[in-house]
Amino acid sequence: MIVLPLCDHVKTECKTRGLPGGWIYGLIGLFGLRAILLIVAMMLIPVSQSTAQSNQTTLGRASDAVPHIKAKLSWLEDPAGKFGLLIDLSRRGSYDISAGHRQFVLHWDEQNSVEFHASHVLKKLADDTPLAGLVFGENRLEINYGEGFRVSITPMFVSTNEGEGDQIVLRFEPVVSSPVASVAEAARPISPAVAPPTRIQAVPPAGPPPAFAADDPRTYFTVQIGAFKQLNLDMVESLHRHGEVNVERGKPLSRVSIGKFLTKPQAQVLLADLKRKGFKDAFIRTISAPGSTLAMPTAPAAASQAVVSAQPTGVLARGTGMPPARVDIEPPDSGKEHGSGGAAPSALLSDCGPTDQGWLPKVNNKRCLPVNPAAANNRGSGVKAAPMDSASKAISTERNYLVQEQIESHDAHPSALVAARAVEIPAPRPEDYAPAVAMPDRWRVLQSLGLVYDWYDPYNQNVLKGDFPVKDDWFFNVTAVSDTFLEVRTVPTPVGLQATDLAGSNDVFGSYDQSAVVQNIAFEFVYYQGDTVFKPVDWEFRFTPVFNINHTLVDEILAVNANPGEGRERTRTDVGIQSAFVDKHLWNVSDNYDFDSVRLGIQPFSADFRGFLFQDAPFGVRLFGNRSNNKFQYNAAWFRRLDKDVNSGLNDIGAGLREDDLFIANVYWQDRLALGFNTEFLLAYNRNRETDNVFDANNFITRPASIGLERPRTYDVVYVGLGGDGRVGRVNLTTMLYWATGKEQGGVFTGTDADINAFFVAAEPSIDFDWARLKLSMLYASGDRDPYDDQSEAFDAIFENPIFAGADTSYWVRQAVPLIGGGRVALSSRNGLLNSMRSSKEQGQSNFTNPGLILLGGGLDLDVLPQLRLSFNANYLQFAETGVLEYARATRDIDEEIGFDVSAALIWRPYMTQNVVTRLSFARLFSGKGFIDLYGDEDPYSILANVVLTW
Amino acid sequence: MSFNRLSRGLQPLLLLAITALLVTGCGGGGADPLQEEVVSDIAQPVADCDGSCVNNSSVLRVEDVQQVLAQGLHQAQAMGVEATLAVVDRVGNVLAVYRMSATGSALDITSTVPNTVMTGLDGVQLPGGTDGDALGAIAKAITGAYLSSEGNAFSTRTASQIIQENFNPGEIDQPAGPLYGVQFSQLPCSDFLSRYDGLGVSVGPHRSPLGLAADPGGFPLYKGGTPIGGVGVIADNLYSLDKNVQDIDRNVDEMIAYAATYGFQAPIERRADRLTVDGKTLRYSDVMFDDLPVNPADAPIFDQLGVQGGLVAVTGYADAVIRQGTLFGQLQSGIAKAGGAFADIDAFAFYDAQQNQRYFPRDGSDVEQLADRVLKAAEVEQILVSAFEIAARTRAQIRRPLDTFGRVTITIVDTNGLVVGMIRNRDAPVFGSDVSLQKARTTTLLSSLDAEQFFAEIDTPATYLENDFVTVKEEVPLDEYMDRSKALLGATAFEDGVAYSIRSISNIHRPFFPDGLSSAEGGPLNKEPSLSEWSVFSTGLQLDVSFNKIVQHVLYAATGGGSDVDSSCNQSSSPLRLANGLQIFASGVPIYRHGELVGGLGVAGDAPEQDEMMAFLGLYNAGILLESGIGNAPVEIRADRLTPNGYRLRYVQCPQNPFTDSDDENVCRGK
Repeated sequence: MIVLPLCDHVKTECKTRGLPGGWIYGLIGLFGLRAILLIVAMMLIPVSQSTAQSNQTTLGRASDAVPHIKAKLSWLEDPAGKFGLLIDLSRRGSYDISAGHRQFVLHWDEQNSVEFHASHVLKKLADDTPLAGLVFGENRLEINYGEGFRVSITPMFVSTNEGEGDQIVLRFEPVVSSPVASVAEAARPISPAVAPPTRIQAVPPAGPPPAFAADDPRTYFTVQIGAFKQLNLDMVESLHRHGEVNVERGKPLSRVSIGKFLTKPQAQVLLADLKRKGFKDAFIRTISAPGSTLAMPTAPAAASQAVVSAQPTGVLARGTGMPPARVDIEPPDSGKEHGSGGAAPSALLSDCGPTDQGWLPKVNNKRCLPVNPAAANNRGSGVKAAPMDSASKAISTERNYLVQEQIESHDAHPSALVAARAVEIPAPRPEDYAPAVAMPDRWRVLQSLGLVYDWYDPYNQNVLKGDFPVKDDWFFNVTAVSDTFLEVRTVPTPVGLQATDLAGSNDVFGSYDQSAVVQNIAFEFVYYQGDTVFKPVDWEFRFTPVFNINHTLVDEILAVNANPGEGRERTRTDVGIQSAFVDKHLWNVSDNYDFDSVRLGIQPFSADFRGFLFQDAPFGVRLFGNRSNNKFQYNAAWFRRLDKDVNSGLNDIGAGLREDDLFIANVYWQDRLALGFNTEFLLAYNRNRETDNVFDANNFITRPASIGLERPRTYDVVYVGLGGDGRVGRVNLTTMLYWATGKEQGGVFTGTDADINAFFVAAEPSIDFDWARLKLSMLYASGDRDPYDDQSEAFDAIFENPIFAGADTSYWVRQAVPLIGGGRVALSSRNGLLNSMRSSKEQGQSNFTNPGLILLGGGLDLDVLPQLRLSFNANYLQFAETGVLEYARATRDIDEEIGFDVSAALIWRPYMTQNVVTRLSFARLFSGKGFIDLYGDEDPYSILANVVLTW
Repeated sequence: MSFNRLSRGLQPLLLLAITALLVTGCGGGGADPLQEEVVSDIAQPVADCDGSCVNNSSVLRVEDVQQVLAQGLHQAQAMGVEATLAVVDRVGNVLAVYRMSATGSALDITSTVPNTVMTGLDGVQLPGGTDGDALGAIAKAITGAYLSSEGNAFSTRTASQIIQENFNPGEIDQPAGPLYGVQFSQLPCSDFLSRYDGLGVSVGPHRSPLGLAADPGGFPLYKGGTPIGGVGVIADNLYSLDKNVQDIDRNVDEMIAYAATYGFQAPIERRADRLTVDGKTLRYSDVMFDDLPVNPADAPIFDQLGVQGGLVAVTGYADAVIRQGTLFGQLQSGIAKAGGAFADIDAFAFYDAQQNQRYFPRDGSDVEQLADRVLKAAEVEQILVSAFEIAARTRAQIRRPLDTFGRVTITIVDTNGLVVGMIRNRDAPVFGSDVSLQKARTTTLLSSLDAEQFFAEIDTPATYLENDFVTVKEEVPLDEYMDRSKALLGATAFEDGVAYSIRSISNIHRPFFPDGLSSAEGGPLNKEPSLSEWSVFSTGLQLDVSFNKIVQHVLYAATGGGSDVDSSCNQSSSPLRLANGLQIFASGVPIYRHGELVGGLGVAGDAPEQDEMMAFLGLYNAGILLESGIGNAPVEIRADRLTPNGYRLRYVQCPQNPFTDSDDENVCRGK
């Protein structure tokens, strides 16, 4: 269903284009990938409606049988490619969670043990410790595990295929770190930027009863005897002698339990007692953990008060500065048993890195060695129980610890932890306890836990980010993107013909220096209906206004406007509508949610993997969907293109629709040719009937192009396309082949009808060596040999936006080079590769009488740091045919060689996210003979600085 | 992955691709069988002529003229219209005028139908019964002949495209056509051009009664790849232009004239529609032979036509006899190989009826003003040679084949407007002779300290007449243009010694200032478009300085009454200055000696930028060689120091890729 630009948005070319219009493709790439991920997730994850109990927040379950439950696994999207994972563990049982090729099992059984199986990793959590809550955060799943414990798992999304992102592997990296050592240490901020109290004020209070001392850190238990549709009051009455009878009303079942704040031994005694009385199904249930139904979301004052004190041990600080991947464990019972005393963990774990923050280093990277001699004795023994002292023997050592295979020893002395916690946790009071409050929907589970975040916080649950519905299952999602770029460039620039800036301008060519600053602010508003997890949304309304301000400074007049009085500068503002559509999910056609959808309005669309033919946001109607468990994806669409503002590149709604129709159908065939390689078949018909004279915003004629006869021209061209994208073995490969055939009425130079017969082929193999990617780029676009015959043999796209050969890092793609003295057309357009000789890519018609292009290039991407990528590209460019140029410029023997386009780009993502992406690139065209023939002996360059901020 | 697996995977894809190819590929290709029936537009096989194809047969013989006439008349007959046809040779001798109607039809000179501009020549109606139709046809025939060469074939439709207020017409806000103003060259009052001697053909170039024509229906005639003359037709009583170059017309005049060219049609590869100016293709003809109602090849021979009407005599141009044309490049045509210092460089010169070479380099006549600082004959010769050398390296814009050099006429005048030297290339188009002289005189006059005085002293305003040719419609004093210029350029304009190249003048003699900008006001030397005063038949100072003489001649030629004009287009006390009219498209530069104006240099024949470079660099190079202080204007006094209303004037504009023998760009920078 998704045929938006299938590009890896980590790659520079997809995301961070800066020029007018460039951000759009970044945006498209962004949402395209997100959508893809969503789809992939939906396909990969076995889903079950049966577990959807949106109001259920109770963790316990009154059944002996441990059902095998398919987990409800939500992809929680937040902007710019950060993903959270929410596992709804509202029912006790064994959860199979699969994602990609990995699987893990989260087992939550009646013995109160939780097991994680993720690949080879086995983690076992202590029994009788309630799984208290789940929090997702930046790139991680956090499972709050009772007081003072936290499990966080970082799902790593790895796109192995540049440009497509369909190969998504979830990499779970369970990491164990130490529990908070002491009040003093734990209270210290993790980093200056991290964990302000407000960010964790939602941590629910623990709810111990008054029967215990205020400093009692234990978890508490109740004995549930069962769940009943109808309560037998006599039975309830008879139970009173065992203790306080609790009835949790629910539908269809109401649970009945005895005792609220029992210690484990008390509970065990009571359980035995009750079993003897005939309550065979009775079991012990934990109740004290935050997030349990017995927690009280209703007392904010108490909650925030609790937060301050609970911070070190509670749900834990979360924030952008926190190391993303950790599992914090603490054996609660051992702590309880030990009471206060013992050495602080920092002393025990002296060789474990920055212990001043109370964290252990990532265990995969570094082994933490306790100084505890007992622990030292255990070194090298593989997966072993941590040594416990005698007081904790009541509890199986194996269940006390979450043990990771790779970890030989991880045994902070429990007594120290207990001491810390015993001091820190306030005693729960009776009024802290309140009955469960039903939540309106399952998305608000976390809210029920008191996890409420600021509206501007996109990393956590946010109604503006579609994390939970506005109403029923209607969601709202806002994305804001700021794209700023500054460009300093040299481009062949003619002096003004009617007037010049300087006296003594006696020749055609003036100063090449130019600079531009462009600011785009894009908002995307999406309102959609759907449960966001299991199936495509039913309705979607999307609206994307973009506000643009662009400033251009050149050295010559008449370059920014047809009026020499406009001088050398141009500042324009523009508002464009880049999407405004309604999407209706028509129906599903299989159990795998293969579907058909229809989308009407201004919508982004890309015809192929790399934007060679058409990538734009036209108006139209599109039917799309998939079949055979997503093996096939198809589009069938009619688009009528919108006119654009030539300066901003944005859709110009005021100018209305162009008389240019695109009928297009394509099919993507997954895993065709090779596993991981997807094949595309495309058939497109572009019908152009633009016969009016149209001038652009700078008063230059844009239709018909000011070249050749400059007569109204219409054309009918059919594109037959065949392409592939994916990997074959270790080699990533993108290929695209087009054949354009048709007729144009009024050839550019002849004025007579001409047959269009043109070819295009491009291929880009690449291979990864660890953190380096080596690319080869090859492209051939046929040129027209003789502009005066009745054959138009040059290839031109409908609206290209190629992500290829360095994309807009390279000079030839990035810059529009005017064909000075050969018509007021650009030899190659901005953000375009083809030498299509159009008036502008944005507004011009396709031109099948052009010199064509041959490109051979190589590139190297170096992921020097997670935050830093260095890209190099070098492309050799030449014209396929120069006949058209020779006639246009009245010059014979223009050489075919354009030159070497050499560029380098530095992409810095300071937070390793797409929310802040900066880029600095430099490109230079070392001119070849042909370029010199046209423009003289200059090697033009461009320097680009680009900052994209996404919310 | 194994190759087998790969190929298996590819098979269906290949099949699909091949199938698609087969299915779609059948649509195109294949000759239209109907096409084979019609007459081919391909001219008779010609050598790849590049200026040297003229031979003894390159002449319009009487029977050729008859054939041309017969084909045109045959077509007109088939179309049911009464046409007037004129045939001229390459130097403007009128070889025949044939009128189908009993008496001359009326001729409306108009830029629009119905007419909205009633100034200048626009709106002038030559009534029926006069020879207005013949004058129109002659002007169109001369235009076809004069604008063409072995390297380019231009028609009146081409002229129409390149003389309008924007280039292309309709592409608003773009500068005017590159030859804006050329319509007012070859004027009947020119002192340079020859006149009909009442006997027959004579040395040329000859004058044209209405200047050059923009009304479709005038074509060059070719033989063996070399132009030998032209044919012009008036059948619709209009002498107009085509303002819309985007459509395809069916113009009666053009259809008849095009039919007439059959057998003498211009080679396809040399036609205007194979030439580009700034990448824009020029127009040649909107009709081809297969668009005609009847096949011109089927035309009967002239004597068996059975068409009514007959040959007519036209006062000042022809008698009612079919004449044989002159052989171009021979003394009889008035253009032949130059002697003297120019004999070695394949230069051509102009000759009079007595076979004397005209304009052999001589000293300037302005000793009264300049004393011994006048241009010397040797200096004139060096400038001509240097410009000629630049021309020989200059990549022509409007010639085919590509990369041949520009063919032009180079003319030098002194400050009195006297021609002190004039040479041309072998195959330069004829129109450039008169035009280069116009340019040389114009740049010299307007750069001189007494330019303003010159116009102020012309007492006789341009007098527009109603169509009774008696009642005065409007009188336009020429100093009005000076006043408007002063308002823009300052109170001392045209008396402060600013050096105006023709390009500078063109900046202020355009329908708009700045040029082409439709929202702007009119140029100060031009008519004001917003007042509906401007059209290509009413340009402003350019026309008005010669207007009275032109009208006088047109009335004389059309009616046979009155007297013909004398040999100066202006009515000033120094008739030699602007004697053949004022020209307003580049290129021409004033000549200075140590900062003092001593003359002017005009070049015409290729596109303005190429011509301009020849003038500018030729003069520059000559100055270096001469070391006598001769050269271009000092940069401080050039007009590109002026920025009236914030718009800087231009001085020269040299072209891109200027030379055929180097990659050099920006060759005029700093000179």
